[in-house]
Amino acid sequence: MTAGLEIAGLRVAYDSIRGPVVAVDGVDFTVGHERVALVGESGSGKSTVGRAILRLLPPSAHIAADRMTFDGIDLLGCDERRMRRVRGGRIGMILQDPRHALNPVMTVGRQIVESYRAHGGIGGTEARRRALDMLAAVHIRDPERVFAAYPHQLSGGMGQRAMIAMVLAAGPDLLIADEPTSALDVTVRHSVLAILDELVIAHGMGLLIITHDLNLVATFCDRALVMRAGRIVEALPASGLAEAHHPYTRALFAAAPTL
Amino acid sequence: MIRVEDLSVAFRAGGRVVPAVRGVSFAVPKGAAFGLVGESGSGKTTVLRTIAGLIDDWDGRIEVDGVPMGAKRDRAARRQLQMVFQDPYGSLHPRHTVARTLAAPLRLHGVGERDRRIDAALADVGLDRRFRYRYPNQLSGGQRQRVAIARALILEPAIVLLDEPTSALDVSVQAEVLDLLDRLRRERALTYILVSHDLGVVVRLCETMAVMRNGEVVETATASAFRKGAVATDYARGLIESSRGYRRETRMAEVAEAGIRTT
Ligand SMILES: Nc1ncnc2c1ncn2[C@@H]1O[C@H](COP(=O)(O)OP(=O)(O)OP(=O)(O)O)[C@@H](O)[C@H]1O
Ligand SMILES: Nc1ncnc2c1ncn2[C@@H]1O[C@H](COP(=O)(O)OP(=O)(O)OP(=O)(O)O)[C@@H](O)[C@H]1O
Ligand SMILES: [Mg+2]
Ligand SMILES: [Mg+2]
Repeated sequence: MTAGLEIAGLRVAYDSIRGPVVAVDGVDFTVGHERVALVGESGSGKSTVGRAILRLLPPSAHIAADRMTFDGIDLLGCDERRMRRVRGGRIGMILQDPRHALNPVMTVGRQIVESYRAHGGIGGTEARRRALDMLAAVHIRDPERVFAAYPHQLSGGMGQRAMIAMVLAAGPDLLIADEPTSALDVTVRHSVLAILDELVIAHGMGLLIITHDLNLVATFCDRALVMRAGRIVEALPASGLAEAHHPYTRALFAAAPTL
Repeated sequence: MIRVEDLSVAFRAGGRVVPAVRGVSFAVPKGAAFGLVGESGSGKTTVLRTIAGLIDDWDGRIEVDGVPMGAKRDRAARRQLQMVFQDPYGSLHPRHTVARTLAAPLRLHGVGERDRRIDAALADVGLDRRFRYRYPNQLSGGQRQRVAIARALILEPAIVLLDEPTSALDVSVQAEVLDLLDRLRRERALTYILVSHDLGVVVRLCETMAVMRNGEVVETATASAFRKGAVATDYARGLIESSRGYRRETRMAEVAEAGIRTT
């Protein structure tokens, strides 16, 4: 049995009235106890890869792979019951549109508490205490208020942090984070990254982070996978991104406005 | 010209009052681009929504082209002010195709040549005709964001309020969008207020910017002062410093101190 995420020959096509849209066209990679960045132009298939791992794609999507396993579990072949235990518990996912992903009719606090209770096996009082601690840890100014709030009463970045708190509450072994900090100011962003960092370093969590933020990739991640039109065109150490060879990778980051 | 004076906005939620914006003032001359940056949750979106007339309960004074807010604005005046929302998913109708979403404002304001305008608006944000027939859930995050930008610009407004308009875009598409915004401003003297967490984007587009924290503007500075790091507050200095990248050692010490627990 091998540890971590192993993907080989992943393909995803969406049905559409104008014929199939091939979004992922044969992708191979692994994620161990490390921080891996998935980067690439808008529409290149990054979110589709992230969601395919947890089979969170719409019915119009067709997934195929030669191999897609996590710690030996066959993610493509296992039944829905097994998959439900993997989702949230073993593998957590932060979706690209967090406020859309949170339950709109349930308070933020209840959503985090349920995540703690379902996966941590702890009682209500303890779960509540931890939920408030987690909101404070992601630099929510007034945790009590946000605990009692509904998602539409939060700012964009507060919703993103509520989503992160909920997913981390389940203590995942692998976290797939799709643009997890795009709505955060840089100061809060780094505090949130530090929490993820700690989980990787001290708890051996694996992290697959989808992002457009070159700075984040270069200073936070170990490796970077570069996608274009459904394929990985280059894989390189994150710190070497500035010296990337592939012309696409170079072009992708050349236009970043700097301070 | 947009003038905001002593603006305060409070929300009522669960029997509590949430002071979201507290005494904010700034002025944006016609044809200028003004940046709003700062802490997540500090009230930036609320300021934009109030200027756009989407929030009823507020205190202070807002003037758009000499007309005080609160006075009835006619259809022509409303057309002049458009907003790109922070959350494109939430702002696009889930059951309308891209073409229908873009046609709706044109129809509402009786603008002709709709087909041509829709194609041009999509091409401007790097999307080809194929995307006309897609629904929002059939688009990537960045494609949705570009549809939202196209919708705001299709009516050729005079003022555009941009709330994190490029947060889901790769830097090359982002550069195209920023070039487009620059060009429109030169050609038609558009006025922008831009909210973004990316200081590089803000100094690229704006001459002046305000830094918000906890409902207040803590500092207003020029983009060139920001570039040089010549800012007055520790908070703004911290933002500039953090923009350089993640610092593992400093941050790990912070986490150890806070004693964060997951399960
Ligand atoms: N349900 C769907 N039906 C048809 N096409 C789809 C559907 N969902 C996504 N696509 C298309 O598949 C491609 C990949 O989408 P995906 O969301 O994976 O891109 P992405 O790399 O995450 O982009 P972004 O950085 O903009 O979020 C895009 O061209 C998109 O338009
Ligand atoms: N409808 C609402 N009901 C209650 N509180 C709200 C509502 N909308 C916003 N707030 C609160 O107002 C404050 C400011 O929110 P706002 O969305 O303006 O912040 P922001 O600066 O745009 O943050 P971000 O950068 O995270 O998007 C937040 O504390 C938020 O929880
Ligand atoms: Mg995406
Ligand atoms: Mg906002």
